[in-house]
Amino acid sequence: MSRRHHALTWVLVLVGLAITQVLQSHTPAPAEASRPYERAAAVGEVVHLRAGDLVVTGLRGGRSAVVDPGSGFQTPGVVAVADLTWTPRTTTAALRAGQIEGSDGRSWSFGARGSRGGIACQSSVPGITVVCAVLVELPADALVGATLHLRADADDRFDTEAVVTLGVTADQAAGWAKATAPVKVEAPHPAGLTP
Amino acid sequence: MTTWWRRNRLALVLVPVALVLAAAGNASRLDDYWWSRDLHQSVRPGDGGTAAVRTEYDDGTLQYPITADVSLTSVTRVSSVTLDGRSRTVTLPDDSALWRVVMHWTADPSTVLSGCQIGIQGEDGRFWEKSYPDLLDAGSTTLPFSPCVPDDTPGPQVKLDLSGIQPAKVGEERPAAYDVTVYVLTAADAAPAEVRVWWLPPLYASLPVRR
Repeated sequence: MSRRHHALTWVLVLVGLAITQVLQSHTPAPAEASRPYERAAAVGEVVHLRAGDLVVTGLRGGRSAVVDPGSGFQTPGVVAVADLTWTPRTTTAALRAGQIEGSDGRSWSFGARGSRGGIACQSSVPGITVVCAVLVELPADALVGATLHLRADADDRFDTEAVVTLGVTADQAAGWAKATAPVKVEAPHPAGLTP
Repeated sequence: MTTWWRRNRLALVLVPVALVLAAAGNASRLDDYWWSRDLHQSVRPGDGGTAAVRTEYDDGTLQYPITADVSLTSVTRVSSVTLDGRSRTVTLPDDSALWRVVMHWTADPSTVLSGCQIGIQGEDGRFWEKSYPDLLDAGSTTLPFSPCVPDDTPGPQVKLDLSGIQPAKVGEERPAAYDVTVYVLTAADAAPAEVRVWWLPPLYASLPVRR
């Protein structure tokens, strides 16, 4: 190989490395590339997720909750209850996880409903709406300016995620922190059927 | 430069081969995350309308062959269910429709057929798996459970501890041929295109709905 070819080879290698470097600097880092596609909405608005349509129909709160069938709990903070409707789009789907994110950066995540809250939004089939709710226990002041994040799967990568502005005022949160009546939550059920 | 191309011609020819091999080396991900996760491999009926299912159940713990012939007898939109010859009304969710699916099965009575699932594929691509009792309020009515075997004579079953197969009791053997009726809830505007029956994806029996 001549000296000229040697030099050309080195130039090509260096150009290749430079191009790779430029491409990498313009490509999203893995964590950024896999972040969920957020769909913003307010209470009462339809959120079109990949797996189906979601509506947060209302928000309630108190110092205790009674969950059908026959369980409940009290909290030194508040229990926030978001009432939902969920309608899968093309195949069987459920809402399984999410979190409430406070305006100060704190986050309260939840999965399947347990003894102290979580989400119970059963699997449904396309076009059949289910009525369900999520319960989250958190400090009262955290609700002011908070957003509710909901998704179809515990794994939030690459999928859509609802980000619902709850619109809770300081007065509302303070009222819930003093409420004596428990927040009643129905068992999840298809719309049109009695739970 | 011509010399360079000539000297490296073998390597140049092998570059696309190497690229194909590199892609194939990651192809297991296609199986893990796509092929074996959903229904991709259809078994369609022959001229007689019967689909011959020849597969194997293998969940990593238990393996047994599944050999059965199935045909679709009817798919009918209904507002009530028929049990023991009597019609009983059920309450449906809003914006929904109930379909009665009747299938005819032929299989060796010693074959394990329990554990299959059924769904209706709509003409618009939507898919409705059989989902009661969660989504259908039938009160105290016990609806047919299995799409593949008679509920009262299901034949051999997998033991609860998954340690093996429990043969049918004497006198309760599954017939060699039988009809099964199940109900599938869909959206009110569903237009069924085919009924799908499966044990483990990706293989499924694809039974077109005659209209």
